[in-house]
Order: sequence, then C-alpha cells, then structure tokens
Amino acid sequence: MRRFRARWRIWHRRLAWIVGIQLMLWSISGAYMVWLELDYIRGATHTNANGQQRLALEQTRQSIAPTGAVIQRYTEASSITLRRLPTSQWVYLVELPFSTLLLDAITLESMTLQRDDITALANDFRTADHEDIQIAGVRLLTEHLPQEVSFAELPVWQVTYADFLNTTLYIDATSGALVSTRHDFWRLFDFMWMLHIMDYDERSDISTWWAQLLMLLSATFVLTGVTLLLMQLRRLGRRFHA
Amino acid sequence: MRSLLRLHRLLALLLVAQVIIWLVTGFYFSWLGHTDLAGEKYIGAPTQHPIQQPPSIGVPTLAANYPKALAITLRRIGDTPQYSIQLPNSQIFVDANSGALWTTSQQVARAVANSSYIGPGRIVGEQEVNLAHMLPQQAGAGYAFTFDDSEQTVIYVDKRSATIAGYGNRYSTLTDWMFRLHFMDYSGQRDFNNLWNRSLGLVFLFFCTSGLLIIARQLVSRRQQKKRAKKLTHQEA
Repeated sequence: MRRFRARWRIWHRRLAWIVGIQLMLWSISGAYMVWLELDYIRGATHTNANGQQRLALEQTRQSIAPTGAVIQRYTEASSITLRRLPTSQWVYLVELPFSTLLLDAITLESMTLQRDDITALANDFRTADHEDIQIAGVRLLTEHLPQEVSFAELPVWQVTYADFLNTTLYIDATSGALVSTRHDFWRLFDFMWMLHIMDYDERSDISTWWAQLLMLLSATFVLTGVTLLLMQLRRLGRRFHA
Repeated sequence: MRSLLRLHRLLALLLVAQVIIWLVTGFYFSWLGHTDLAGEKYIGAPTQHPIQQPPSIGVPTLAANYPKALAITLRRIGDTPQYSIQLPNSQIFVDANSGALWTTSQQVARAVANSSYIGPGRIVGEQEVNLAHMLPQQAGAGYAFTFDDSEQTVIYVDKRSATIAGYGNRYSTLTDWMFRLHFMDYSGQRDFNNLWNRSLGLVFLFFCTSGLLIIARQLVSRRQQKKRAKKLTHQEA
C-alpha cells in the first residue's frame, strides 16, 4: 500500500510539473475576468453607442426631406436611419446592398465625415463622467486595423483620449457609428482571454489541440490528487480507530 | 510549510468538485467550438429587402411624435414597412403604415427565420415561446423554428421586433447546463460576474499558488538533503 501511495504521489508531482503553470494561468486569468464587470470591460460605462443627440425637430429651421424622396432616389435601399450629428447636422444613413451612404437629411446630398465631425461624435459617445478628458489623437485608418478591432471594416477612425486608461474609440468612417471602445483594462482582459483559451495568435480559437490536451492532463492531475487525499484520509481514519 | 500543506489539502477538499467541473465543461466548450456552441453552423446574414414603397407615416412625422428619440430606422419586414425607434434607454418598433406598435405574425416570423438559414434543412417544427426560457438575457414572446438538418438548428424570432433573437441546436440543452456549471450561474443568464464564481476563482488562485509553493519548497529541501549527503560522504572519505 505504501509503495502504491508513493507511486501515486510521484505521478501527481510529475503531472504538476506539466500542468502546474497552465493551471496557475487559468486561475489568474479566470479570477481577473470574473472580477471585472463585463459591461465595464466592453466600455458600456465609458461610452453610449447611441450618442446623446435627440431628434427634436423644433431644433432645425429647415425641413427634413421626406423619406419617400430618399426611397425614390435609392430604390435598392434596405434601411434608412434618421439621426442628428453632434455638429447639429441632420443626416440620413442609407443601407444599400453593398455599401452604406450618409446623406444630408435636408438637401439629400452625399456627405463624408470630417475630422471635426469625428471629434464631436467621439465626445458625444463619451458618457457625462468623462466629458472633460481631452482627445490625444484622431487618425483615419485606411490600410491596417489594430488587433484590438481586427473584426472591423476599413476605413475606420481611431480617437484616442489622454486618460489614464488610454481609452480609444473606433468610429466607422462612413456611418459615424461607434464600432468599439477599448481601454487598458480591456486590453489586459483580452490578454487574459488569450492565456485562458491558449490561442496565442488570433485569440479567438477555443478548440486548439494543446488546450484540450492540457485540460485532459489537468483532469488526470486532479484525480491523482483526489486519490492521494482519499488515501490520506483513510490512513488517518485507521489511526483514529486504533 | 506543514500548515500550508494542510491548508492546500483542506482547500483541495473544498474545490475538487468545482475544479473537475471547470475542466470537464472547459473541455466540452473546446471540443464543440464556437459555431456549434452558438448553434450557427447553418446561419448566414439575413436577406435584406429593398423598402421600395414609402410608408404612410414619414420619418420626420414620427420624429415629431417621439422627441426623445435618438435615431429612427425604416426597413421592410415581409410586405410591411417597420420603424425602429431608438430611445435613450429602450427601443420600440412601430408599423410604419398604421403607427401601431409592431407585432410579428407567425408567417412573417417564419420568413425571417428562413431568410437567415443557409443549411440543407427545412422547417419541421414551429411554436410560440417565451424567449426568457429559451435564451440567456432575452425576454418577451417569440417563435422557435426547428429545421431538420444534422444539427437540428433552431432559430428564435422576437415577436416584438421581427428580428432574430438567437439560435439553438441539438446541443443547446447540454450547452446551457455546461455554461451554468462553468460560470456557477444557475439562473441560466450566463453572468460570470456572480459572487460564487468570483469567490471560488480567488480560492482556486490561492490553491494553485500554494501548490506551486509546496513543490518549490520540496525541491529546495531535496537539493539541500543531496548536498548534505554529498558532504557527509566526502567527509567520511
């Protein structure tokens, strides 16, 4: 029995050498991810993707073009959205089969968002608590997307704030929609997610063979530990009864 | 060191069941992969229909009726134009011809489900469901359409908006339980920021640290023993 126990202990230790570091990484990354609120990580507490400009019609002196006129001009349009930019400009966003158009809602002329529009939009997306923080940089990305928004479509505006979390807003260049909000806690969360799923490249594949192998070895490691514990308890029980 | 070993063993007793659950459920997620977990094997982008006809109520008219609206979107569902009105904290859907609150018929919901399905199957089952019972973080009435493909894909359509509320497949019940067990959120809402998960996460972190410390300490003492033994043999020689 003693030899048997010693053998189990040796295997438990050997397995600990193999899986110990990864178990540690799983526990650190898991603890980090569960302790930080998901809404905070996603930027919901920093930004409001709907913006804050209400469609109060009395605020426009000129009349908004009727929807029929937009449909007549763009017969392929599958959706039409009326909204107001923070620069007080009224716009129609028109979804076409392979593209999106931004129109001046009064003249129905096509328009492109400029740096000033993007700055105003970014500040509008920010919630009230963060209003006084200055913008550190505004860049139009046309060729390469950073890994933190690899899913987005080019072109996209990158607006970086001079706050201690390095908050960055990504805004669609055509529609002016908020694509995503990133900050240092998100970046650390993404790193932890990478460690958790063990996909060190794209950080999205949860089905890698090495992760599955490590999980199987970890399960074996835990079971050997449980067996050792049961043996120990049995021995203690015997001693107690003797 | 002995007390740390005792604490490690005590924590092992406390944690063992949950750690095995984390490993088994983690393996299940990894084995199944993103697509099957989400039930999206046969799901594509829903077909968008051109609006074509202007609705009876224009966007500017509706904007005047909803002064708190942040955006108003017009689209076509089946043959009927629909407005979705984005308010500061909610979203409402309106029939763009009548101005009445939108409600989706089973026939329209079926067309919506079919428009996002790209698999080889066809609808073999449809029923009205409470989305809160079928999908995490959803509420209200909806329809479930089951397809006879290899995955037994289910598409849920929200009755309030005629939008896709979520997907399911033959693994959905098991997947749902795996998430409950992994996140320790037995309400089925998949909230991993709950107190149970947070507490056990910290305890497990301490458990792993203590395990590594014990191994490191044992290694050091073994080295010292070897050194001592070498010294003794050297002295004896």
